[in-house]
Amino acid sequence: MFFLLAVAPIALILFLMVGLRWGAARAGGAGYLAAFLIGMRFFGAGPTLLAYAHAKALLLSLDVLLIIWAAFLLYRVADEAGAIRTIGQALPHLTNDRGMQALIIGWVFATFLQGVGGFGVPVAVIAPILVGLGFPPLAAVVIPSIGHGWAVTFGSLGSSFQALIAATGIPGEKLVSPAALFLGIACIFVGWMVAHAAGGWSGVRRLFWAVVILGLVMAVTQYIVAVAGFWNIGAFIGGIAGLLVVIPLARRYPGEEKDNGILDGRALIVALSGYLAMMVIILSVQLAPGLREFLGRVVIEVDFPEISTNLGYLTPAGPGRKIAFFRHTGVVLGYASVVAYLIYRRAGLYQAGAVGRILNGTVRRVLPSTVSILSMVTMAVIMEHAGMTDALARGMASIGGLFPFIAAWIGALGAFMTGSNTNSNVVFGALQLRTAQLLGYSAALILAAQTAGAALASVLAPTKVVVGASTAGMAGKEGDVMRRLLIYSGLLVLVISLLTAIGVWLR
Amino acid sequence: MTGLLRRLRAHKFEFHLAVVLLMAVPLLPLYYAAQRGAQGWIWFLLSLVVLGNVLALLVD
Repeated sequence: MFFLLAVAPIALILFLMVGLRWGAARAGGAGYLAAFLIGMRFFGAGPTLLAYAHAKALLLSLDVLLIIWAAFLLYRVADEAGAIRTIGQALPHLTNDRGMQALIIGWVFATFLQGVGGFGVPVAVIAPILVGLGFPPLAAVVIPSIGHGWAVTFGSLGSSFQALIAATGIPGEKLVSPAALFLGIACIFVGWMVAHAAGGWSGVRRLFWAVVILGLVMAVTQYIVAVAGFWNIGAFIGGIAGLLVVIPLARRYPGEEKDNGILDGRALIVALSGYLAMMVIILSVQLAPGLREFLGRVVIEVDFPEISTNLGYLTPAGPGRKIAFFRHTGVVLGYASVVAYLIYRRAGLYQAGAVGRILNGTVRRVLPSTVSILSMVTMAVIMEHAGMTDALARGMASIGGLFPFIAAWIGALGAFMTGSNTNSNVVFGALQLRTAQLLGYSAALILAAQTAGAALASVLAPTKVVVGASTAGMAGKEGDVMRRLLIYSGLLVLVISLLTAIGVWLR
Repeated sequence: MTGLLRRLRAHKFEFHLAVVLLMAVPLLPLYYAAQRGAQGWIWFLLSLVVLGNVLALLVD
């Protein structure tokens, strides 16, 4: 009974977005209202608990919104200068093969960006580039969404994996090997799915071995780096290895002979310089300890007291989401936007009134996404505080012998609800560990399933779908994106489920 | 009702801006209201957020 009530807000959002093709802003409002009413009526969430949950949601929303706003600003800065069009015109000089173009940008480059960036950055940056290349907007969102999922756990400087360690208290050395193995296997499936999203089954057949080669290079590199103890840069180094291999590999897939005109090298370098500035700035902030410490001095942090529902479900006291404002990924993307603007302006790429058009376009495009992020994040936090999330996980774990098969789906559910691998690991990590111990399964395998399932399903989270859709001109059509992603993401989580079941069986 | 929806869609930007304000502005005051145990304020502020979400249902 409690399981069905707890699942209702999520099922409602899925039904409205996938079934009725509602946009995320409307569906999010419906999900919020369902969570609010069910939490209050059936789970004993009182007004004080709801008030704290809403306040906590503000911090979490800000964490996400800063990235969406800044990523779209960067896109508008580049687009207004014509940089997106220039990059789009240059890629066919490397290969005319649409599938190969999708692999280069939507998989390998997305992996690299996930390694250095954070929440939604690969999709927000790549989707408009693919649109500029002539990909349909739906494919332009779906391709980088699938393409970066395998790199989430060991991307973003390993924050998701670090969260798993913190939530379970198990040393990273014990967890890292199965997690890197599961995600490495998923990497190859991800490559085939990107090829499929770009060119259907013929694309998969044509690029089968290219995917195997690239997938092995990135997956093995990530595995070696992560197992060596450097899990915070696993996806980043994996992405670099992929970029080094993909450029010579692409020449073996030239695609149809076409007259692509003459490549304007200077224009391309200027166009790319905005994104190069972004990478340099992100890497400097993440990897230069002095700068990182300096920018991390201003922290937005709010302490929340212990609070319980009328039914006794307890949320322990502690700080909400800490936001080191000046080194937050969104703010760092803001720095990159300013630098990119200055570069493009110096190159004479803007016409009069460009700043007004950039800002106006940004605000108009991000507003509907802001509505959906606010409602969905608040819904997720209400569910967590009311014990609905816990009821969901317990319901899924109550199937005993099938638990190894279900573990990845629990992680996936957490990521879908919260929009983040990190949050899923925080919410469900300890619960998965306890259940594994009670049922006598390997904790390392179950927790690998948790984080891998969460990483691969985080791309399906409405909050992330909104990011991609808004930057590719698909705002209001998030349901179409989710419909496509549901199949790919579901299959990937199924692969992890089977791997976990096999791993448990072999032990 | 149809006329109202048509008018809202015609002013989508202003509508979404109002919805965002209703959803976001009460969140910080809610923290302080909860700290002081001001139940009346909590209900008032929560109802604003709920209203924002109800309005969000009207326009995509």
